[in-house]
Amino acid sequence: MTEYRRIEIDKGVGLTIIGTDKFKTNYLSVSFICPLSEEQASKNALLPMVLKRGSKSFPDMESVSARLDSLYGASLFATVRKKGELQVSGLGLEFIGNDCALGGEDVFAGAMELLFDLMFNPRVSGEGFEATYTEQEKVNLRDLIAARINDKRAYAVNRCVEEMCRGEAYAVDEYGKAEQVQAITPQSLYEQYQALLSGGHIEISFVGKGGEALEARVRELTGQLTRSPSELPATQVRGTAESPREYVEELPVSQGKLTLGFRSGITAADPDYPAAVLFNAVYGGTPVSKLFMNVREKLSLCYYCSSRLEKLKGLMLISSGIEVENREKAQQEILAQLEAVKKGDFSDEELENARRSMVNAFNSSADSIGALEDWHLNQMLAGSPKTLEDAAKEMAWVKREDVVRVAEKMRLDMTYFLKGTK
Amino acid sequence: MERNVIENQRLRESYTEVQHPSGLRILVLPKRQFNKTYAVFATRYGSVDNRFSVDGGPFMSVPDGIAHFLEHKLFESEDGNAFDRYAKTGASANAFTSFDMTAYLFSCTENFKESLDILLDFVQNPYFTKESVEKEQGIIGQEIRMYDDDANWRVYFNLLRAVYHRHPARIDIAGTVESIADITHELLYSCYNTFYNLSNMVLCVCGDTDMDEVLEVADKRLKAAKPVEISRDYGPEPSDVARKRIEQRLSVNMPLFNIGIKDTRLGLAGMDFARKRAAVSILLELLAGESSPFYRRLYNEGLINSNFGVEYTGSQSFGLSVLGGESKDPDKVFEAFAAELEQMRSEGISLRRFEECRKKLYGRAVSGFNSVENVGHDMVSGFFAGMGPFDMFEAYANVQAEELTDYLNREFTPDRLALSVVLPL
Repeated sequence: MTEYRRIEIDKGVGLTIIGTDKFKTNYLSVSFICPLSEEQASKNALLPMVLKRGSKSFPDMESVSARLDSLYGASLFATVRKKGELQVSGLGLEFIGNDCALGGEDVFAGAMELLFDLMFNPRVSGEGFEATYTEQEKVNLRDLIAARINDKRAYAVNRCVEEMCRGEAYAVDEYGKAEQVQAITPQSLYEQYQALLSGGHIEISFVGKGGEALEARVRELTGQLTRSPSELPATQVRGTAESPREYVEELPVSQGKLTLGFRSGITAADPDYPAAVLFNAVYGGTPVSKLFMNVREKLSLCYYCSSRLEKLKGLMLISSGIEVENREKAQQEILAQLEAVKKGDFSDEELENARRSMVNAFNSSADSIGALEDWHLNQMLAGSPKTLEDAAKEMAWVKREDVVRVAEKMRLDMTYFLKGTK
Repeated sequence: MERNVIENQRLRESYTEVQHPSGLRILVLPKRQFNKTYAVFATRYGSVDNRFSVDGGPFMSVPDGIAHFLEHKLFESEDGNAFDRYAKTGASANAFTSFDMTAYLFSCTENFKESLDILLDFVQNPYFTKESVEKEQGIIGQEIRMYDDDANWRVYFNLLRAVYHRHPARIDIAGTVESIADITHELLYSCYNTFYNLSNMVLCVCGDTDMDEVLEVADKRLKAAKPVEISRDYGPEPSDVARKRIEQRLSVNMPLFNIGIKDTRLGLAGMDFARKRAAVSILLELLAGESSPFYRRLYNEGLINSNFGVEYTGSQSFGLSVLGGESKDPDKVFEAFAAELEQMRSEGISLRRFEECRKKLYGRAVSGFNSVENVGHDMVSGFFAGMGPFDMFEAYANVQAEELTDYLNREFTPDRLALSVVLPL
């Protein structure tokens, strides 16, 4: 049995406990949640990378590494995520449960202390973070941003979103831009850290066994902070689009990448969201969906063609890898298949395959610690705290006419084309 | 039919093993709290088995890549393809060929018995024709060319060619375009009839099921056949490496390297094999893992980056340790590692670091139990080394520092080291 519980420790401090003894490990994370903004994004992304380099008790990579080893190979990593128009950045630590420790060590206590020390007791030098750590991680972050351009498939999706949502907070990339990274100093980063400690939201998440032990320690730690957190802004959601726009970009690659951005206006809290999930599965979410079977299999127009929902901003994104000369045909067929769904032109078998596929997907996610943590964070931010089991069960209630109704709500806003010139 | 139930108290897991009347060994490790179930049906037949004899008959050699070719073809039957059948039950299916085994698998969250039925059925019913073999030669030819361009694949296989004089581990698993041209449907049947005998195979299942459910399907589907006796000839193999260095140029940003250390303590099985793997893995972690002085020194000098890793790999007939990564100067990394070996030989192993590394690898082995796919996969590859699912945990928990020192002094010697490099064009 997996149990979900969230405790408001204080204003702007939350503790989420996903209790389960399914896994051999436990997972603990501490994140700052703040508005997504062009000015702050890179600083917020760099922060956890620098924090994990050392703290007051574990001042360098050597001591952090040795501590992780003695905690039975615990894994520490920085996490940076975009959730609607919010940026979530922090540190995560996965470690084995106490009952597996060979010498009866309290791995849980050790892991908790290490993570909290790195997050709340950083290694400081003068008025800022350690200069070498800051400079080395700036290089790593710039490399990471550069690598995102190398993955052309993801790049085409990000660029579509950037153009479609220009002027909205959602257009900002969660890692920011290389030029902004360059401008960060150990002092400016430390100032940002203090601003988040006092004004941002802090979310502590736990997956595993024994999470109850956290509440007292978290209250103690956050009680020592002087805080005046501001309200987190709501993500701006709209279900309408003015006439569809186009954006073409040229790069010296051989393939073309087509991304279509739609406004659905349906977020995870919407009563129509389960219908939207099933619609997406029928339309382009599985290897037996309309997009896959027609644009790829029947017409051989693309190497991949799929759709996915964005559940906090209320979008649908279709991405496809095509030969440049097939652009018009692929675009036409993608839209034609949407019209087909709107007309109810899908068989009962297609509908049931999609339903089975989604139930399978929700149930499979519950077998993954990472998927569990991310699911509950999304649902909490959307204001709809339901479990994966709930989501799987909801699939049974969605009828054919619900799928058709949701299809009607999809408004094409932006067609982005990455045109290969090679 | 006797059921053997083995429990591990610390892990709070148990598995059941049976010798099915058909001749097949079946292992089931229930994880009832999980939604997914993973099943893998495998044969002890891989790319190294290119020369063999059956029931005391004459030895025959087969073309390189035939085990992998057979894996592709087995999915086809007279009336269709196994993937189409799985689509109806909702299972996610796959297969792979490695040096020493071929495995057919699926995972699912529902309709487990129906999907298991499909698995046992199509693997036991081969259908090879002249036309389908010819068609596949083109497809696999494409696959081979794809691997030829893959720098990570090539740096590793070139290492194997440098390390082994004769052992068939030095052959590409998929063969070459030329070698697969010699494959015929008669040869496929010949290999199938030899190796896909239930006495040479195993079924491993992990997830939301139990032995009773598995036996319901197994009793219905498994066809007993007279066991065959297979002799495999891997050739005599000297203990030193064939070449100390091998180099190739491909389209890469920065040079890739693999350093290999040849293992000659072969033919081990069960707990002996587990102890060896634990000892060597901890030794590698000590020498060059993330917490090692070697790693930190080279990282700070800019000679390696966070893409550096160490691993012991192999089966019963061959084994090697591999240190791999990217570097502006791989030869310098190799020299530094050789020097590190000498230094540790003269200084001895730090007991404090030994315990830390033991804990790390033990912990990582424990985390592996979070995934039914991982457990299933480890069960099947462990089975072919005579290991049970809990043997590696026991080995990590009990291995002693002296076992590492023995390896350091007697196996990690200069004549066993080789370097493979892939350089930019």
